[in-house]
Amino acid sequence: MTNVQYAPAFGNTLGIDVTYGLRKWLAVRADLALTQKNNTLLHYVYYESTNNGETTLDSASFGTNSVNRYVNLPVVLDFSFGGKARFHAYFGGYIGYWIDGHRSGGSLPVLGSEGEFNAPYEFNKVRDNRFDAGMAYGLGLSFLCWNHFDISFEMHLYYALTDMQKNYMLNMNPRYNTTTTLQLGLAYKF
Amino acid sequence: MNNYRKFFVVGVAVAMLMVSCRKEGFDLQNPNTRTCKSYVEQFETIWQGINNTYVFWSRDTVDWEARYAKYHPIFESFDAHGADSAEYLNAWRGVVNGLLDHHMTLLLWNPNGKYRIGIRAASNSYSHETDEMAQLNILQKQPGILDFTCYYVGNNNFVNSAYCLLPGKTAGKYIAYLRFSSFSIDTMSKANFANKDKAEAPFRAFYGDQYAEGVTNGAVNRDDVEAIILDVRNNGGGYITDISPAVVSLLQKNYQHGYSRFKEGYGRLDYSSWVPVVFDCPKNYIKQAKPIVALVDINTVSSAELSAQAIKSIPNGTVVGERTYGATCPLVANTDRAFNVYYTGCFGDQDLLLSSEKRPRDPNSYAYYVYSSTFDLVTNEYQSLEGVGVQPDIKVLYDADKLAAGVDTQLEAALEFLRKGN
Repeated sequence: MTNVQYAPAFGNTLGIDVTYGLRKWLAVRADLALTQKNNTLLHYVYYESTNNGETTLDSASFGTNSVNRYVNLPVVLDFSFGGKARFHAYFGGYIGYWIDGHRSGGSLPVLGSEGEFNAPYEFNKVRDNRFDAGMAYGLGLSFLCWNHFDISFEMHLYYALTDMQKNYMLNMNPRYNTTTTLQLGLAYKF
Repeated sequence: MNNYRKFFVVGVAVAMLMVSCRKEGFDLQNPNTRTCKSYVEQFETIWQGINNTYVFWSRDTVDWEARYAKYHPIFESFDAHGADSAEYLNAWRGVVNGLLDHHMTLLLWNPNGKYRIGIRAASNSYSHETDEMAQLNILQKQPGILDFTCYYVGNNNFVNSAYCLLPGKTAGKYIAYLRFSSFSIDTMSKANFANKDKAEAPFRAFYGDQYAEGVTNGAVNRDDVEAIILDVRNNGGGYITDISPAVVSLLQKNYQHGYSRFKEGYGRLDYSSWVPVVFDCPKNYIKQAKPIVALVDINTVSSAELSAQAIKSIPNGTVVGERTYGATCPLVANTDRAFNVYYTGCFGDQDLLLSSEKRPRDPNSYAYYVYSSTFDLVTNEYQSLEGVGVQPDIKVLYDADKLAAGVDTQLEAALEFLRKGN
């Protein structure tokens, strides 16, 4: 018996954003970033083993660490209130492009020996949908310092609406990226 | 502030509504656990099982969706009007015809008539039967042959084998020859059966007493043996674990065949990463490197093909004969360890492998068993040999007429190469 599960994994993100104020409480913001949308594929195998005549169900697990790097461009409405310290709520959408990837980990036994791998990911043109788009949500807290500088702490959720796979076969299960980022920002206000 | 609230409420509402735009996944049926009650259910289950688990979708050219569209109505009509055995057989042949997997075999139970059919998916444009008895008769009449030992108990027996010494290039030196029908060497060494001593004799003579663990005190280690012929013509393959003691022990070093992968999900292209496939050299290996010839033909299958490729990979190795069958990707026949672990390979009711009186569990069901490759295997250059086979260095086609006249042209070519070096 086997069971494959995708688990979230940590990554990093780095970007620049531009915000245009429409009202004191409303702004439009675009944030161009390189963002890793990583995961770990855990492959559990259950098997029976016999010791001293007693049969027990044992398990083993193997993992594939996937690093997927995207160019991510969210465009959101930034609702905010407060004074020098302002609370922000972000709603909008994003588009992204899967630029590269990397796979590493340990394999299930193959032909009697266990193998390890650590290599760049090779895209499959038939399967991989490198275009990514979805909803972008966020909450943040910013502090105005020295009149022109904002220091911000933000959490964003990128909820994909596009499948990571093209529709290449009948009866296909979709796979989506859902990414949460914690961001520390410094902005200059004109 | 009113505007703020309106914008905020609309923004939240749109954001929440968009979440529901996503198509969610669904549970797929494990093809090991399906009980079919009709022809069309049997078809749908096997079609879907192959759709999810077949390991060659990255390079197979068969339009699998088109097969569904063409054959689904035919199996529906079988349910409506019945099907005679020829129609049933032809329909299934059409479904799997031309799939690349040269191991793939379908075992199908037709409850209307209570019979089992077996269908091989792939076909080679070149094929022939190998007359093993004729080849063995010619072998034992070779001039100067010594120590001929043969145990042959009929076609498809896993322990058929023959050993002898043939005159070599140098006077007083020999070529050690071994032929066997299946990679079941370790299994044989552990089994108890009538005439086991006779069955083991060729292997003991060639490798030594610990033949299942490599080379010990056998002929190949003798100083007066200057070359080796490993004849795997008409060898149907078997346990891949036998390759190390039987073949890699003659190479003196580990053999990396290439890379292998399986699948990590139900998607056709959900492949795992490539992992190196290395056959370890056992601690008992040949003392001195000697020229080795692998004799092969179109009926050299599976592990026997990998063995030929291993011999081809070393400087002192040569493959003589014709291209091999092309079923080069290994499999795990047990469905609990194949589909349930690797998401690839065999699935269905293994009772269909049993003798007729024991199969299947429910004779009124439309039982099925699909035997197919578990691992995709490529060479070190990422070339697949599936459907292609191992190409000989010295090509000599099977010649039935000459064989009938007492000449084994492939054996002659191997001996001439080893004796003359060309």
